[in-house]
Amino acid sequence: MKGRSSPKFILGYTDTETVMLDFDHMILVKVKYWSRRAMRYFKLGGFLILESSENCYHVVYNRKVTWSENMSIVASVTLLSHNQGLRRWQLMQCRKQSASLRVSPKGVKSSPKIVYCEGRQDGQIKGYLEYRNLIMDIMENLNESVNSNSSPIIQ
Amino acid sequence: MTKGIAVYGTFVTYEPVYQRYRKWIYHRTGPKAGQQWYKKRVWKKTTRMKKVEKTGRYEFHGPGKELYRSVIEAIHRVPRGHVEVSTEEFLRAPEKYSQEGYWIEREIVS
Repeated sequence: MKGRSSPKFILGYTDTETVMLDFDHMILVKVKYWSRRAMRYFKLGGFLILESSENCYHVVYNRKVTWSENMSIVASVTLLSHNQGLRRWQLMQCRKQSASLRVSPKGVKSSPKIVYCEGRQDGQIKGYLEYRNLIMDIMENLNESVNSNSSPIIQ
Repeated sequence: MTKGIAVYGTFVTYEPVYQRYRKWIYHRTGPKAGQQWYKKRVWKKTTRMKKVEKTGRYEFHGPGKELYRSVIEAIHRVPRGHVEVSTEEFLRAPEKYSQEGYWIEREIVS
C-alpha cells in the first residue's frame, strides 16, 4: 500500500532576541566574511553557519539582543553585503516583528545542516540548537506516523 | 514572545462566495399582537463556499510537550492569518485561532 505524503507545512525556529541572517546565492567564503565582520563589529560573541540549500546559508549569533538592536544589525549587514535574498528576508521579518529560520525540509530542499561555527556557542546558539533538536524530533515522529498511516503519538 | 516554533506554509481554505445573482425569497412571518399573517420579501442568504489558496502561520511558544501537541493539532487545521499564541491558549481553544482547510506544498518566504 502506498503511504501518505509527508506534512506539507514548514516548521521553523522563531525568536526576537537572537540575531539571525539568511544569505541567498552567496558562496560560503563570502558568508564567513560577512558573518565574522558583523560578529567583530557588533561584539556578538560567536556564530553558527547552516547550509539550507546550495549557496544558501543561515547564520545564528550567540549574544542576546533586543528586537530593535537585532533589526539594526541585520539592516547593517544587508546594506553592506548587497544581498537581495537577505534584503527580502529582512523585510519579511520586520513585517512579522520576529525573526524565523527554517528547520524542517521544504520541497526538494532538506533540513539546514551545520557547516561552520566560530567563537562562543553557549548563549543563543545553545537555545537555537535545543529548539532545532525538538523540531527535528517532531518532524521524525510526524513522518513515522504518516508512513505507518497511524495518528501521531502524544507523549 | 521570545523563542518559539513557527508553523507556516500555503493552504486551501473555504470562504463564502459573493453571489452576483441573488434572489428574493419570501419568509412567512408570524403575527404579532393584533396583526395578521403576512409574507416578507427578503434576500436569500449566500450559502455557497469556494476553495481559496492562502498563506498563513502559527507562532507557538511554550514548553516542549505542549509545542509538540500544538503542531499535531495544526496538521489538520489551518491558521486564521498570522496567529501568535501560547501553546496553552491554543490547545484550550484551537478553533478560535484556526479554521478548516488543508496544507499544500508551495514556495514561501520564511
